[in-house]
Amino acid sequence: MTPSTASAASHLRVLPSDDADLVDGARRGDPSAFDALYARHAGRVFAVCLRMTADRVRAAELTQDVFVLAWRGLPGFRGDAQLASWLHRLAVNAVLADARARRRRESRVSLAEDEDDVPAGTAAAAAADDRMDLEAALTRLPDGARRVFVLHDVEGYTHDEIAALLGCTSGTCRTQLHRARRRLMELLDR
Amino acid sequence: MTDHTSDPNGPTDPTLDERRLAALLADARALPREIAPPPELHARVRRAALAARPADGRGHRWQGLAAWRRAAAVLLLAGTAGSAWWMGRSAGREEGRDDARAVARAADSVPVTAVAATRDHEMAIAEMHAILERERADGTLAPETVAIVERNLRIIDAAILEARAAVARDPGSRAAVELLRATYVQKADLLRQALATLTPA
Repeated sequence: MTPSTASAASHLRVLPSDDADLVDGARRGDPSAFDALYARHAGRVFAVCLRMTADRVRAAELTQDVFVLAWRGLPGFRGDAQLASWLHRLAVNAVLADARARRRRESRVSLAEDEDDVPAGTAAAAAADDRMDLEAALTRLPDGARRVFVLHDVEGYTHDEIAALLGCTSGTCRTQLHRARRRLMELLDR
Repeated sequence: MTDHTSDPNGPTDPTLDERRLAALLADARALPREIAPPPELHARVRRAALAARPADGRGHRWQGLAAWRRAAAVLLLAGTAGSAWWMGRSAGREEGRDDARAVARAADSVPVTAVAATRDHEMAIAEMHAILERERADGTLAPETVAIVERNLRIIDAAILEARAAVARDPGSRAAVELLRATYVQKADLLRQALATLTPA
């Protein structure tokens, strides 16, 4: 299994029986089911939100949004997708919707032009020593390049899937990915 | 390192330093799948989630308006030919919760094409809902804004249910699908207007 399919395949695990129980409890509005849902999936959701935003405060807010959405949507969840995959998708869409809303409010330039080395935000500080680790280096990428890198090289999405999510061409995604990889290699070699 | 921008659209960029790229990709794949969120987040999320859908399992709070009132309100809000069509279809419907439940049952069979037309709107709406819920819980939304938004959302939500039922009854109708989409756009616009009233921190 190639790395990209391994990452993508992580979305395709058979639904564990305890997740099915969790969904049933959530449909009944059982608060303990919510606690179990959060305990089981919050780390994954937060990881996606944090890496894509490079902003712990926003990542926490978006994680909250995802779980509110999930809790509201679970009564209608038909189990035709894995629960973890569904939450993951909610998280990705929440991040992208938030980015679009911010871009509209701030009248920023489009994804395709997001080339400048703009600081990403209030993420975890870079490593104290000169050799930056990958998590810290991700925060130094422009927003668009970081999102594409996280979706493709960390989360295993294909170029076409990313293009559909971001509303751009797969060619633009490939360009952004190339820039992200080049910049990361520069940062990690300091 | 050589700058390689000559073939950004190819599946690989063979002139990059392959060893360094392989190491980078290996590091990316090895990143932890989970990152622990701030400990205090659980309580906050729990509060917001249970406020959005109470623990007694009640579904959507906003139901039960008379069909003719919904029709009139949507026409007022939308002012489009599509809404006039919808109002004509709804004029003869009876009032009451039984009607709303029947509409909801019919909406379960909305065809895939209509779902595709509204999926992006549904996600955007759900996200804005969550933001507004949080802002309301935090007290940053003016009460009058909350009252107006809630009232209009009741109307639009019921209109969405009826539009979905119309699509379910007549899946081949482009007008029905377009009206469903337009109703979602109305809801999204309403929520954006409410969000626009928020004062930046």
